[in-house]
Amino acid sequence: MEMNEETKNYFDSIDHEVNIVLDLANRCRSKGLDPDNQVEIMLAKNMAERVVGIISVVAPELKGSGMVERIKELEAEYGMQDWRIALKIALETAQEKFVKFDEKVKAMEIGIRVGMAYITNGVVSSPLEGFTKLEIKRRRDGGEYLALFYSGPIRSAGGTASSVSLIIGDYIRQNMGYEPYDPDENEVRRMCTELTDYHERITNLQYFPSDEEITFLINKIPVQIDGDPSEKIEVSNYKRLDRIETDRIRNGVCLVTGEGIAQKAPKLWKQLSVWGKDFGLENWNFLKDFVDLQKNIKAKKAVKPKEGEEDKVKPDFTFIKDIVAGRPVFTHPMAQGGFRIRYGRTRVSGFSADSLHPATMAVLQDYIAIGTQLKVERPGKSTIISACDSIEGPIVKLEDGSVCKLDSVEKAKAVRDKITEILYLGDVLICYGDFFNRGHGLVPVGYCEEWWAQEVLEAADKQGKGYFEELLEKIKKDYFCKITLEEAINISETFGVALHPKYTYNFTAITIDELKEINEWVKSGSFLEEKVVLPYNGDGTTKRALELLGVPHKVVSNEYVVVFGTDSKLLKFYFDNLDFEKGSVLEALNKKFPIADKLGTSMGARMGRPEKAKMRKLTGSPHVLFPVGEEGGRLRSFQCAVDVGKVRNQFPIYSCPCGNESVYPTCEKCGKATKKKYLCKKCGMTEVQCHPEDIVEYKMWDLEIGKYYDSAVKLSGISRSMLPELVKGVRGTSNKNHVPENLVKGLLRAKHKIYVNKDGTTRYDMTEMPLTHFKAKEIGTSVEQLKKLGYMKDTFGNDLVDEDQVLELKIQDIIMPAPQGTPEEGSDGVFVRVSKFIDELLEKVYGEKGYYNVKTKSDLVGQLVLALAPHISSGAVGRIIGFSDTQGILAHPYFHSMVRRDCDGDELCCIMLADAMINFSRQYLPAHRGSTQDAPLVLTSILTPAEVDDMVFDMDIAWEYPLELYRAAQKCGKPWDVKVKQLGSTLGTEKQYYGMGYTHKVSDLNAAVNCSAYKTLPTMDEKVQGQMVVAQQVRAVKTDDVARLVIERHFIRDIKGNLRKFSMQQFRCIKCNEKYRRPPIAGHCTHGKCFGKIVFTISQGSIVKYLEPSLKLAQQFKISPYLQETLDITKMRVESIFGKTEDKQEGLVKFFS
Amino acid sequence: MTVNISKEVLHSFLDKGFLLSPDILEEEGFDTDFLNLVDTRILSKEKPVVIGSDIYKGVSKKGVTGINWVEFEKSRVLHEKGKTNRVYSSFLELIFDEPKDNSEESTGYTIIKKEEAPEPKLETIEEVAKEIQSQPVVEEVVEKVVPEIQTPQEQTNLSDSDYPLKVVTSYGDESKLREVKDFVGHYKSRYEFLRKIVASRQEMQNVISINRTSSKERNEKVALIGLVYDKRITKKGNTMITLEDTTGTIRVVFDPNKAKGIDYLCPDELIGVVGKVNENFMYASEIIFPDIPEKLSVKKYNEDICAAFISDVHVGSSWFIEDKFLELIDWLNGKHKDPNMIELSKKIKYLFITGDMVDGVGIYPNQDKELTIKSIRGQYDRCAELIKMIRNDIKIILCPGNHDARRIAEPQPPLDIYAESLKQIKNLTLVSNPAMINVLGTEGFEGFDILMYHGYSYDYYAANIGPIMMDGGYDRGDSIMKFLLKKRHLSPVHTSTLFVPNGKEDYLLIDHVPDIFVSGHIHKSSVSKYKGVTNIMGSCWQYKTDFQEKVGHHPEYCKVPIFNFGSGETMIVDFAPENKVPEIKNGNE
Repeated sequence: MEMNEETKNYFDSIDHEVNIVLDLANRCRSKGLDPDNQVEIMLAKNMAERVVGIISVVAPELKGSGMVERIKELEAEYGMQDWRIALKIALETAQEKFVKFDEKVKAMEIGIRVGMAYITNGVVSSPLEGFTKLEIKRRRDGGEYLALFYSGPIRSAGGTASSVSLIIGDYIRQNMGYEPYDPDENEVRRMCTELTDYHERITNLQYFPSDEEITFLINKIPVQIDGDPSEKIEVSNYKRLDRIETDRIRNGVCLVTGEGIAQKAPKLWKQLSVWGKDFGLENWNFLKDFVDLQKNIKAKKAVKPKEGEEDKVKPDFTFIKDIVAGRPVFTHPMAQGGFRIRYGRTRVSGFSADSLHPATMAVLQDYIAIGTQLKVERPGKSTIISACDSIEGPIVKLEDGSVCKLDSVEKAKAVRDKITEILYLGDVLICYGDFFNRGHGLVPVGYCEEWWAQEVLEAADKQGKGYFEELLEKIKKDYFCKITLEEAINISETFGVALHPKYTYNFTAITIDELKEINEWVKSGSFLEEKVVLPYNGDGTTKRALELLGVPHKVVSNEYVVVFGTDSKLLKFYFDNLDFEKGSVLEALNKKFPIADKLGTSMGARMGRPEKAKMRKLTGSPHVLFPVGEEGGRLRSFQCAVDVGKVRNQFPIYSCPCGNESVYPTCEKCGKATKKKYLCKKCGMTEVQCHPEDIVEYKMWDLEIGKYYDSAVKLSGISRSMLPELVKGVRGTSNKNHVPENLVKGLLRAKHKIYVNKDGTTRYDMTEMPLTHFKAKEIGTSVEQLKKLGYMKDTFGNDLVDEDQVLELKIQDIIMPAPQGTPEEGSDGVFVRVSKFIDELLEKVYGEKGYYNVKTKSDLVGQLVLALAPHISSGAVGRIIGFSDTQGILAHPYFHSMVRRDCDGDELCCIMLADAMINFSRQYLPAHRGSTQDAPLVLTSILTPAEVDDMVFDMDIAWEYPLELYRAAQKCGKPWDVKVKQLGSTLGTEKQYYGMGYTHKVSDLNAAVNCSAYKTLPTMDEKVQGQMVVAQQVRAVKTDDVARLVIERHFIRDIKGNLRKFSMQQFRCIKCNEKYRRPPIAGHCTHGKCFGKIVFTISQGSIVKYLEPSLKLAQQFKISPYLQETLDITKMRVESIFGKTEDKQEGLVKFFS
Repeated sequence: MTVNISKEVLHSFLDKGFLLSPDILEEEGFDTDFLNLVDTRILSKEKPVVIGSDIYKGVSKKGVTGINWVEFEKSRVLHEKGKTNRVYSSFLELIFDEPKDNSEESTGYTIIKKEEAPEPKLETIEEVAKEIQSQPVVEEVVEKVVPEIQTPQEQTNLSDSDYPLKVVTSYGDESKLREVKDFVGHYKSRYEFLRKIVASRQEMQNVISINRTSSKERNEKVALIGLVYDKRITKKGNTMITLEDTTGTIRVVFDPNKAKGIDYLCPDELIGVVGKVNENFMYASEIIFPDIPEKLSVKKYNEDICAAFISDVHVGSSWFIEDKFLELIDWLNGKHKDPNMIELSKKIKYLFITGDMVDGVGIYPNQDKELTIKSIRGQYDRCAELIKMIRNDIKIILCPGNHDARRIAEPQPPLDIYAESLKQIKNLTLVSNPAMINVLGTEGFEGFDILMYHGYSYDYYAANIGPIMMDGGYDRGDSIMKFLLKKRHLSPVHTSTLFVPNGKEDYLLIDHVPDIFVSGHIHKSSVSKYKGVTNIMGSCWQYKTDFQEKVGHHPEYCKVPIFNFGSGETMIVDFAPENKVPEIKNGNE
């Protein structure tokens, strides 16, 4: 692989460090204090190793079977990530070319898993848990066909991979001699009903195919898409079919059919049409007909655009429908005054991450912070927000009627409390790559500096530079450079380009009549030096037009409207040059040179998830995975259990030569290795696995907990007086063999105030954010430290000397969150303590030297972590190089892509590498389905760009977007009509590791709101209040509609749902927590000798909590009579069950009165 | 007080095969008329031989059913001999639906308990007696005092020529905070009421309380009564339930070959089981459901008076079949091409509407897009207009359904707010859901009891009870109604409908067996008979909706069952749009 010396050294140093930790962990593990004597995370350097690593969970025999070599061989033949490799390797596995299996069906099943693992880069756990099993079933004519079973975790594979698994299944079917599936009419109808039910009653499918599409597909797909029941509710029709075992809804089936094959058919056909026949997959040619069918359906559905509107961008209301109370709507779809779309990418955006001006974030009541997810109208569904101060900020109107433009956080904060209306929200910066990746047509955008600059340069190239040479040079160097009004007018006059955007008002926001009115008004004013004074009689109509233009002005003593400085000159310039002969506003202004449309397209958005940075805690926040049973009391503490004297729970059984019977593989008394024992139904206690069917590896103990606790205290070396007050365990272990962690780890974790996750590690969760370049000062790391880490030069090739220089991020480096003033502790504090815990564990328990020796957060710089995303079973090694004030984990897009995520609001967790290697065990993982999701089964130490999820390859890395982009956008062209440099173009070259560009500068990536108000406001009332304030202030939000949506989509549904549940609810014993599906007629708990009090699981409070807020909203804002009646009836229904509700919700009452 | 009874009287009883016990002469108001009552009130084939004051007192007030008279008389003898009054007193409870003279009886228990070795059942009954003491059971249906009640309401403002209508039971709106104890009381009252019905059955001779099973010999045969707490199928395919009474719980596995009706078992219903016990486990060979007694004689009115039954009109819905509904009104008003039809319509004096008169608002998401009248008041106003068109000598009885502007949780009080325009109509009586109505009752004739229940719980049973599903589920309203009569409950399963408990009474119990049981909700009419009860399911006045299409329902609209009180027969008048002339079908099968 091509890479320069620096890159090579970088990877070598990471690899070296990983191996040091691995050796250390293996030494520790060999002491026998853990469930396994060696590190249980498989290290993988490439995709082939990852595939084998993941599948070895179900088929350990594949390790060392030659599969890795074979995959590499196939990769050499077809190229990386080619589906044909998956088909071949799957079939060869099914044919038992690598290893023999007990049964043919098992071989085929593993084959499909291997193929899927390859398609999903060997990263996700879908091949293990999303595809649950393969069954051979009978055709009606007696022949045999294959049924593939799917479950929920198939979601993480994505639509493409899940549908490719069907092709793999069919390829194996054909070659192993099975017949195609012969669905009957009822089975087909069942699928139609099931998808509809799933879509309407469970959750929205991304793509919801019509019955016609489903019928077509199910009749043609040669294997049966089957699955285990996942939902509580049953399908509404077509039940009790002999070849579909369950009547309940199967989410796996719905996902594979809807979001899988139906949605991805064009993509599948694109591939199969090329090489399908080479693999004997001509029977999949129906995909072509299917794609045509989809087109036909689409064509029929599509409303023909009106004459002249063919190219128009249309509003999309999808994002606003799932409104959540307390999370504001910022812009209605395409509403004027909302987020103005601007093309570009900063060093902290792109890859499904957009940027807003920090002042915009400040005026929106702090609801949007860096890292907050927005649900948006386009190009995708959601995005993560970062700050960019080189784009336009908001224009606001204040209490006294003045209008000002806010271009800094300071200005925004100064006027924030006086704002009555946010006229314009400012820009949202969206990168080209996202439009490209989503296949979203380009939308016309408002005039902006980078566009203007290129038009000027283009014109100058054609016409000659004249006496503008120096100025043009300045523009060429920096599109965003300062241009005076005089220069701007001169340039436009000379080159015939539109006036500089800074001097262009939002003319398209007003009508020609309004322009005339303003003209009259301005003419009546007095023009002084540096200001224009207009008479003002309090009549707002003409002034309104001035406001909409975005002309900053002050209202003085309610008698005069004053425009200051450049704006006064500009106003004079415009109104001296009007020509009303022409029809439109822009044409009327266009006397000397064109005036451009500054508004372009607005994008609708509402708040999605708030950002997150938090240590993960299990329920009850245990310090150790050691059971305390009922004896641990309410706090699940060992102190409590020790007082009781025992813990009754299931534990493994070991016996020591010294006569001690222990729950550990190493005797806690004498320190010798113990012998494992089994409990056999037939023979009782045994040391051999006499009857494999009848043995279990654990028994019910009345464990003398004091003994274990004392020996753990001794081992931990903590003096009695220094013991932590509370060490918390789990109620019971949920893993198959009831393997506990060593208790000593709990004591040490409690001492260092850290908590354990279900797999034995300590994790920190963060919002994922992209980063390609950074400055030393932003991450709190000194220039010297950065040099040690290999950052010798800045982005532009200069030696690194100053903390303000822009550096290009290395692909496995990460910047962790260390925010101030957030409800949760930053990662710095947590990881310092984890390091101390690890060192103490090494020294006291494993007899090793300390590894981290960390005192402060800057000591963490250079340390390695294991990063893992939800639903993923393969971690990636990251290197900490600093800490930001945000709550996001700032990492290279490649790095996010490695864990198969884009940055649209997902989260990532990090584990200190030594913690993961020493403390993780597969044996701790719960026995139920889905437990391998989110567990580091495999670890990729070196990131290979060609092996990451291919979505990232669409990200653009140009230093500027070409003029053609803006011109194509005016015509609503397609993204692929324009060429912008993308990451994919560098693959396989040295340039894949560095040399990326960005189009917009950011002075400081931390400089904006760092914690969303959603997180700091304590109650729902206050959140809703804030939401309504935003709705009332932002011009682009229809306040009544927000009130309606909050009531209709959130509050009423919630009240109704809970009201419904109330009389069908479960009951619970307050003492032993036993659940009852209805109250026992004894009136008290009948579980054992408990006699505890029985209480509701759904309280009155949870039902009525939204009633008053809804009623108040309905009072304050205008909602339809229909909704009002629905609300009134709902109120009546609540009162009929609980009595009249008192007016307790003062918060909202106060606020709205 | 002694009443002089002539020999004639004695003979007339003798002729019928009854002996009179001397103590009956002590009873006030005893006379030969009672002989006529014996046949109608004792609702079993076997009749008692000796009629004493105990039978007289019970039977003179109400019908008595499910009693093994031979056993009863044996127990009376034992009681009179002073040996044991255990069985006898439980019979009496059944006859009276109340403990017989509590103070006296409980002393009796105590004495026996002291003198004899305590019999296993003793405590159970004692307990029951105590519980009954603390919660007196209301004596008679017609006089029933309903805690939440605003009614009984009687139509007094109509002229004498009107046919009588009496609201026996209708539940008002009691606004109070519901607590856990209300739910407990709900199930407890269900247990107590149904227990008595089951306990009187012959098979229940050896009934003991669940906590006594542990002291039983292994494999000893016993009987238990309790509520089903849960039901599941074991690995071997047997049905296993947890049975619960006030003393404890026990697991019961059924012998699949012997236990009839296990497929019909549902959670939270009361059953009796007979089987062998083995520690906290029973292997049962028999299930006893409360069931209703067989009505032997067909009640008939001396005139051909008819009632029509409709439901699910859905006024306001885009799918409301208004033209056909107007046709129905025309017919009721005597406008029809066919003279026979006009003749029939003249006989109709009652119209029952079993819920969902309107489509409502906010019932399902985006409902407003499927409404022609978007305001609930508007919908009721239109209803009022329609109902007012009906000739005013027809008495109309209307209960709410799940689409109406009332709480959905049952019992739903009568329509009130939003339905002001309906309240103005004189010949319209608004009742709760469920409600019991008596028509044609006069001094000399007890009239017909009609149980109205909209049927919201039917969704659950159509989808969850194996044999009903197999029968056609939603298409078989008759199966569901029969099933519920057997359970003596409109919605036995905890999660099968929304209900509001008040802690004292289970409103959805079928405590009093009606003559006619009428429902709606499933949009398909049917008429059937079960043990003498006529089950009527009203159809609907709404075309098949997209939702129904999706879930595979097969609604049949515009069919009107007509019950003739004179003949006891039912027919269905069809207004369905396909048929130009409504077709008359005889639905009484």
